Amino acid sequence: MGRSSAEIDDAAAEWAARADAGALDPHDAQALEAWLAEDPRHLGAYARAGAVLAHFEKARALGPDFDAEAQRPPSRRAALSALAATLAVTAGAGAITYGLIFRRYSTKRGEMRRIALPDGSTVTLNTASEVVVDFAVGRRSVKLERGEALFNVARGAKPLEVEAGGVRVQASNATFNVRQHAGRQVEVLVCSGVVDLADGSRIARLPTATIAYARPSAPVSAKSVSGDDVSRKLAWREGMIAFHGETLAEAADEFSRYTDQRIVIDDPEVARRTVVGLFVANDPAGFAKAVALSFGLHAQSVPEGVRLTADSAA
Amino acid sequence: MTGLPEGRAQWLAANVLPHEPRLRAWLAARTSATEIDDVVQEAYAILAGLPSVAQIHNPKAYLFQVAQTVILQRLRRAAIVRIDAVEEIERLSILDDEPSPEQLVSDRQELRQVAMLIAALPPKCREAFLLRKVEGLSQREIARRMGVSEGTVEKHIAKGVRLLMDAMAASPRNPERSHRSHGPFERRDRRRGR
Repeated sequence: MGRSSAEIDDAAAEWAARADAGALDPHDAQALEAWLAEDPRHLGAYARAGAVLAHFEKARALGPDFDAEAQRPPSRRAALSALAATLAVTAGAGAITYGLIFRRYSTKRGEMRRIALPDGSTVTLNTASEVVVDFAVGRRSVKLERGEALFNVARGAKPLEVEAGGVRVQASNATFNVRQHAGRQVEVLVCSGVVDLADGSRIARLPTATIAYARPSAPVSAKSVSGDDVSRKLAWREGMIAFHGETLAEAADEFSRYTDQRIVIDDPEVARRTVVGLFVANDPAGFAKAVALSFGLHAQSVPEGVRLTADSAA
Repeated sequence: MTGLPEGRAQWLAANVLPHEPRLRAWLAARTSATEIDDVVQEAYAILAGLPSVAQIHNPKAYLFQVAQTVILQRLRRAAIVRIDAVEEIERLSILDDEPSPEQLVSDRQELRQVAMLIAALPPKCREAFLLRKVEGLSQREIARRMGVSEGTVEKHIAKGVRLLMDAMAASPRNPERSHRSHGPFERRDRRRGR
């Protein structure tokens, strides 16, 4: 296909320099026109040469005192390394964004962490959670290795993909919470926007205010939830736990995610009592006291945390 | 500039040239290395040939779209195409590689880069270029100042443009190009059989 792009660039630079000298005489103007018409790459290279010339108009800001010799390193090798240094500084600005291309983030028990993704999305990690952010070339994905995370996904050309326990979730311009339960069950709560949930071959489209439970190679179960349900599920962002009819056994499990202090319940009758309310996630003792008060139970400090019993004698 | 719509070179300088390194990196993942320069030239040709650019609100996205079109055209023209290549390119959503707005260099960094690149030009070429761009003299005035013919000044400017065309293709994120073994202004000669 004709001449190489480097040769075309040579000719384009010559034409650009001639045009830069002033108006072309009729002979040159005709020759330029003919050359531009020969191959689209000619026009492209010429336009690019013009753009480069225009770009270096910025040099005007250097001022007449600009000392090129002072800028000019003594050797080619030095010139190269100096250029590389400039570019490295330039790259530094980009690193704010691109440095995060592939990275692991985690929280310890009781910690919470908000991560800004390169595309303007955010991930908020709940307690004892871990994600791998993969924004390498062509990728826009996050893997939830364990725990729970709230994804606030910015609009993008391609959806953000979240993988958790073999289940894939995709969304753009949406907010959703993903939590890995024991037994590889994944809970997805759609707070706003639409989320696609893929379990192997099928894709379930989940509208706003839907909660879905999925595990690999099992049907997705999904149901609508109220705005209150959504708020309760996201209470962890304020360091709180909200219960709405959970048993005390379930509540004790929930607290164990946030703190090493255990709520010990030996009595199955007590464990089956259900609880409603908003509690501070890292204060199981406070929770136990409140529960004891309302149910007429007894909360007792023990080495591992707090014990809930039906009466003080137990 | 003669041969281009009024103001087009300035528009390309402001809206396309800064994205070129990213474009080249993007192309490197999708087309053979020998074709990158061709695709870039063809993309510029399309942008140069547009009757108007006023309607382009996102020049970078547009640039990538144009480049994708060029690759597709080239693939379809080619006698032998990897069976999945066309499909693969078509499935691409252009801005996948661009998780956030391009981190453009600051004005100060840009000026520094301009200074460095001019400083690294060969002496006569650099002198002509400085007089033209920093002091704003015409090529005729430069010829008088340097005591050479106007043709010689034009050759210096042409050489400067040519070297800077290559330099502007290099990128901090495309170190292969900017870290060539010989220097930033070594000619691209991979297809010249030298």
